[in-house]
Order: sequence, then structure tokens, then C-alpha cells
Amino acid sequence: MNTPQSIQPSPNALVVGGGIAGLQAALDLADQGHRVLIVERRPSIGGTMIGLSKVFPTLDCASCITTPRMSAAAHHPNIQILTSTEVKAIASASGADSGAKSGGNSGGNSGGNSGGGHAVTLLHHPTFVNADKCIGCRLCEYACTSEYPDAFEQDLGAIRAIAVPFTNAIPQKAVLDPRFCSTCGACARVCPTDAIEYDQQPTTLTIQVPVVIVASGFQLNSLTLKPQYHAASSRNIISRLTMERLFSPHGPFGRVLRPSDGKIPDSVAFVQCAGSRDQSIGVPYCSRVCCMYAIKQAMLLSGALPVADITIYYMDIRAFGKGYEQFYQNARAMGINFVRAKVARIEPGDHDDLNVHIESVDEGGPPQQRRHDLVVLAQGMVPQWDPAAQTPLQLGADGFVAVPDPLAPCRTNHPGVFVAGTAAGPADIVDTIAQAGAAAMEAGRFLRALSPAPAALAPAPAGESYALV
Amino acid sequence: MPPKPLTDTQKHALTALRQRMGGISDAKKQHTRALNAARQAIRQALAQQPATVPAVAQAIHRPTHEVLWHLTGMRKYGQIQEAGEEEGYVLYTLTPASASQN
Repeated sequence: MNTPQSIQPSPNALVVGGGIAGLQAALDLADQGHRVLIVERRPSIGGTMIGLSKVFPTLDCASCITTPRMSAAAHHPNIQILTSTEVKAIASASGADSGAKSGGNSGGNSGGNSGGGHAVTLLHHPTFVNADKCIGCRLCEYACTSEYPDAFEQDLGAIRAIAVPFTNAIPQKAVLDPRFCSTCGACARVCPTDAIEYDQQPTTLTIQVPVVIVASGFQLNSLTLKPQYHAASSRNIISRLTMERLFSPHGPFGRVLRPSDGKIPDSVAFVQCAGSRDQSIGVPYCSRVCCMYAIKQAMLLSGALPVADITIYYMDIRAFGKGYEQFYQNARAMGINFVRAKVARIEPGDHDDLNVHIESVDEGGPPQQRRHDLVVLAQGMVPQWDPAAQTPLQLGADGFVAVPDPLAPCRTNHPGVFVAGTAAGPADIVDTIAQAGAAAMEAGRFLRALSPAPAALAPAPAGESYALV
Repeated sequence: MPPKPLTDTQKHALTALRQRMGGISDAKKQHTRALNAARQAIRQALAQQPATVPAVAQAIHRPTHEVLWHLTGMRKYGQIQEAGEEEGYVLYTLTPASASQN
């Protein structure tokens, strides 16, 4: 893994985000011979997908799909990766736009001699661990005595102030979080390679790059957006990403338990459209994946908790992808309760239970109240990163990166800047990977237009070496 | 390998880091004290016999969600393990290594 000091100055492409979209785009570009720099704000690549348990509709292990791509990117001779790094600005370098628009040679090319394109300012946060020296032995983590809620585990688990971010993190390097460090020095005392560096400082660097692919992903909107669901007053109203961690054998509890008291739930509800398709919270669009997430999680739950009652409250099921409708029908056949109803409100009940108030469309009759141990809200997908202030990119009305030409779904309003995955709008993993491949193809074509010479397998310029990351 | 003493360079860097952080805040000190006290109390509660989250919470007079969070940390770092189920809750017990230190 790279450090700001080891970054080669002239990559052909910058990929913003090290999730599945960014990794796929980077791998596809790198395999064409282009040199790619991935910038990831977190201390590990993998994005949201590395936190998932399984994927729909195949129920394949999500980690088994993501980890090989993470590893391939980390070991690819044409890919450099900067973790714990944020993009602070993307600006057009002089002459780049006109050259790009005309398809002429603006100075950027695949051989690393990129004079034009975009000037990207990066801020690398200190990890207080020398990545070249750290061997990932975790002795520092075991010696640390400060424990805090672990964001990777959706705050349900604990992590120490210095730790390898998670089990299959790449890089497997410890990171010290100064917000939680008690500065006791225990980590430095036990480190066998003297990798702890308390004097690391933030580093700002600017690179010139002809092509940028924005793959900054998504986040879920707040659980508390709808006050009638009372998520702020119950720990047993959780997000679907929290549920994913409960399924994980490496998750916070190692099994599905209720966060309020550790009870093994015997009644779980999924409330659909709880953060999207709702004008009242400013998210009128459909988040596209929630139906299949709920169906997948219900099926996994029926395996993990065979006697549990599992109910999905939905307005309509949108099973649009290949194999999705069959997946939905399989869930029905397995005994998952599908109740067509818009949940009016959720109220905390006795013993940390939750009372879900519904009006059933199919059954009719008066409003009903149903008790559940655990409720999973289908929150909406919203952009992870707002590039409008730092970049020339236009955003759509939904806040995602705008794509002016619907027939070129990876092109942004700015030549040389492409978008992939959920940075452009809600998408499932299959579509995300397809978009990432398309973005890489568009970016490759753009690079070839800048440099008529064949890009593939271009040797490194004299004096530079491809650093293995 | 036994812990090494900090070098002068490391000590200076540590002091500088502490200053950059504005010192150790009262909230951080309070968090550390509470963490240590809770972990010690949980270890003592589990030293008697395996217990569920509500049972531990009752024994140490702490909220159940807080006890569960501590148990996740203790489980992650090898101090406790599961010991079956009881009335819809998981039973936890100290690992042999942790029990011997108690």
C-alpha cells in the first residue's frame, strides 16, 4: 500500500473511492495498461460491500466476491492505492478541457506524461503507523486499553484506539485513531518493528491526472428521518447495513441478537420504503435495492433463526433484475410473511419490543398493531460525497452526480471525469460492477484520444518504477 | 517479546501528539474509567457462572445494551466465549485464559 511519499507523480487515472465500483474500474483500466491511483477515505479499501454478508439473488458470500478484487487491486503493478485520503479539490488544468473536447493531445497520455487534465488535491490523514514497517501482527491492538464503538460494525461492536480496521481489511495495517488514543504509549512499547510514529502529520498533495472516475458510493439516510418510527428511542430499530453485520460470523455478536439486550429475536419485521419514495423527507426516488435486501435478509434470517416469525411490510416489491422475481417467489415459498401495508408508525413497547402500526391493503379492515422484537428499516440511499463544492461536477436533483446523456451513463458534464456505481444513483451490485466496467472503457477511450500511441502495456518512463502495493 | 521502554524521540512525539489533541479530555478520562470499571465488574460476574446479558446487567447494575456492548468487545479480544443459551438469551463465560487472570 502506498504512502503520499511513494506515490508516482503521474498516474493516468484517479479513481475516487475504493469500493466495489472503484476497484472494478481501476482493475479494468489497469489491465489495459493504464496506471491508476485509487484514493479511499477509509483506512481500508472494500467500501460498503466488504461489510455485507451475502449478495442477492445467489446468496453468494459478499466477502468472497469483494476480497479477491481488493487483493487484485492491491497487488496490481499498475495500481497504487492511497487509503485514509480524501479528495479536497478537482480542478481543470490549463488547456486540458479544450484538448479533451477536441480529442486532441492535451499532454496526458498513458505513458505517464500527463501534463494536462485535472489537478487533484488530496489530503492524506496520518495513521500514526508506518505502513512500510507495520506487519499487521496486531500486538499494538492487543496492548491498547482504549475501546470505542466500531463504526465498521455500525457502532454495535468495539474497536481499540489502535487497530487493524477489520478482519479482512486491505491493507492489513494498524491505524491509530487520535480521537480515542489515551497517549499511554503501550502500542509503541510492544511494536516489534517500531512502526508507531506519533509525529505523523496530515499531508496535502496535488497530482495531475488526465482522467478521474468518481466512485464515491452511497450512504443510508438517517434512521430518525421519520419521527413516527421512533428510531431514536429504540435500539431495536436498525438499518439494513446493521443487519448485514449481525449476519456476519465476524460481526459484533457473531450471530443475530437484539441490540438492546442480546435477546435472540423470535419476531423480526422489515419496513420497506422507510427512507425513500417519500416526498416528506426529500427522497422521492426509489432506492432500487431495498426490496431485494429485505428478501435476502429474510431468507438468511429464516436459516439463522428457523422458528422466528419474519414479516416484510411493503408497498410493492420491485424485483427487476435477472433472477430477482424467482428469488422473491422462493422467499414466499419459504414462509416469509409479505404484508402489503405502509407502516404508519412504530412505537416502543414493553420489554424492548416494538409495536408496528399498519393498515393492511390485502386484508383490509381496521388499522392493526403487531409486535416485533426487531425492526429493520429500509432507509434510502443518498450520496456519500458531495463533490459540488470541490469539483466542477454537476449534481442531479437527487444529489447524485448528474449524467447529462442517458445514453452515456458514465459520462459527467465534465470531459475526462466519469462516474461509476452508486455515486450516480442507487444501483445494485450487479449494475454497479457493469457501470464500473463501462466507466473504465470510457476512460480508456478518452486516454487513447489524448495519446494516439497504443496505451496497452506501456513501459514505465525511465527513472520511474511501478511500486508493488 | 517483553514491552520495550519508549525512546526519547517517541516520548517527545507522544507529548507533542497529546498537545495537538488538546490534552486528554475529561470525557476521555471518564470513558476510560467507566470502561475499566465495567469490564472488571463483568469479569467478576462471569467468574461465578455463565450468565446472560440481562443477568449480568442485573448483577452489575448497568443497562443491558451497555453490557452487551462490553461483551462484544470482550468476545472480540478473547476474554469471553459463548456457553450455550438460556431462555432466549446467549450464555457467556470467561475464556480459560481470562479466568486464570481473574
